Amino acid sequence: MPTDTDIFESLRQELRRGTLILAVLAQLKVERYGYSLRQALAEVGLEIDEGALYPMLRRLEGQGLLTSEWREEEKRKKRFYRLSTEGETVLERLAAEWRAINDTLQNLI
Amino acid sequence: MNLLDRYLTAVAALLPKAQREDIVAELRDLLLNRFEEKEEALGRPLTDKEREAVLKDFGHPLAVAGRYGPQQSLIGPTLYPFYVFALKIALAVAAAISLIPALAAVFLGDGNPARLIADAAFDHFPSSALMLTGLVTLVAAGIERGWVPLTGLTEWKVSDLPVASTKKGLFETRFNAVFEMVVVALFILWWTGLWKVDVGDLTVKGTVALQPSAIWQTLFWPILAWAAVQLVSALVTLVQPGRVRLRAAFELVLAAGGMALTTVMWKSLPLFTLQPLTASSAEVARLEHVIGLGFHVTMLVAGITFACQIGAAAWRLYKGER
Repeated sequence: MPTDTDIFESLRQELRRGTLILAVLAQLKVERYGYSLRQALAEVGLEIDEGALYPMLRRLEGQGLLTSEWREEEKRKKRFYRLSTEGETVLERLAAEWRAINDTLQNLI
Repeated sequence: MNLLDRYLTAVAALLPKAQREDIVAELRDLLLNRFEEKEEALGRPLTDKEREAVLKDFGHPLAVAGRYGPQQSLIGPTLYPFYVFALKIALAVAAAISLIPALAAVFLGDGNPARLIADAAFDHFPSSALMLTGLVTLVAAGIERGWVPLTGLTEWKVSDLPVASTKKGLFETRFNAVFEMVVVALFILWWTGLWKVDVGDLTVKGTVALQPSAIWQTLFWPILAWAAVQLVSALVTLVQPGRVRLRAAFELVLAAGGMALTTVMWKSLPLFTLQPLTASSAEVARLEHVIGLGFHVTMLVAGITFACQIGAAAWRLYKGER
């Protein structure tokens, strides 16, 4: 039987899942590679599992929201991602949605 | 080949060919970054054991490669309730096709009852249930991936749902339909000789043999057709219990067909002739009278039942909304 901690953890993960995409898109207004993106997110308090981050980046690129290119940096080939034009539009719309949800919830909780 | 190469080779083998090189290159960079981060924290190069721990922490190659797949679940949350419903039906069908023949054999005295029931419960049921569960899962996985087109989940109408009734619930209606399908299917298998049931010689206490009359040959195809329509009717009830008029049309056809068969049988009585084995002719005549009376009463009851069904089905066909 799941404990209260298990239930809370499962609900927390569910709550975070959608917001992480928003955070990733927001961080990629500036070009970053996967590892530096994870560090940037960690610095603002959003820890994300790399195992989930990299496939997410590929999905977002497949959906046309990101562009990527391979470049050499620090003597190693790295894949750099950044927001595409379409991604910028989607980010704006998602951010507006997020603010609306946040305002509503602020009045509720 | 070092540990990292071995790990990446294992992941690469599980990735789609078109993206393999690209994903592996990115994973390599990511894992090298992890090594460097740890080395920086420790202030020294990592040992092989520590590198192995980093790779193990990153995940099993199957799990890592799986995250890049387009499909993350066999059956998604939208389809899952339908899948569970189909599974329940499949298990009910498996129970019925395992138990009904066993109960029939027990009734006919064809073997040890405990053995027959045990075989049905521990041999036939598990194998039928596993086979049907596998089949339902395969179809559901096919629907989830779009290989099996299915519009029923999105193009349903509220008016297709069964009319709310306090007399008979949806579960009961569907359960009856499943039960009917199984019984009729077994009858068809037996009638066509595909399912052999050894009922032994038809005798009355070994004194008189019962010989089926020629009418059974004549009615072979009509009875088979009637049973086939019954099977389709039960299927319609199972899939579309709310289609009152369609179901009524089937019931009308079945009742009319049943009435026609009963009439032909009535005119062809006796349905069995009696051959004396050890009985005297007086005993045979008395038995013929009793059996004849039994068949007349049965035919009469069947005729009245079919007439009532024709009336009820015609009424529903006329009044039904769908």
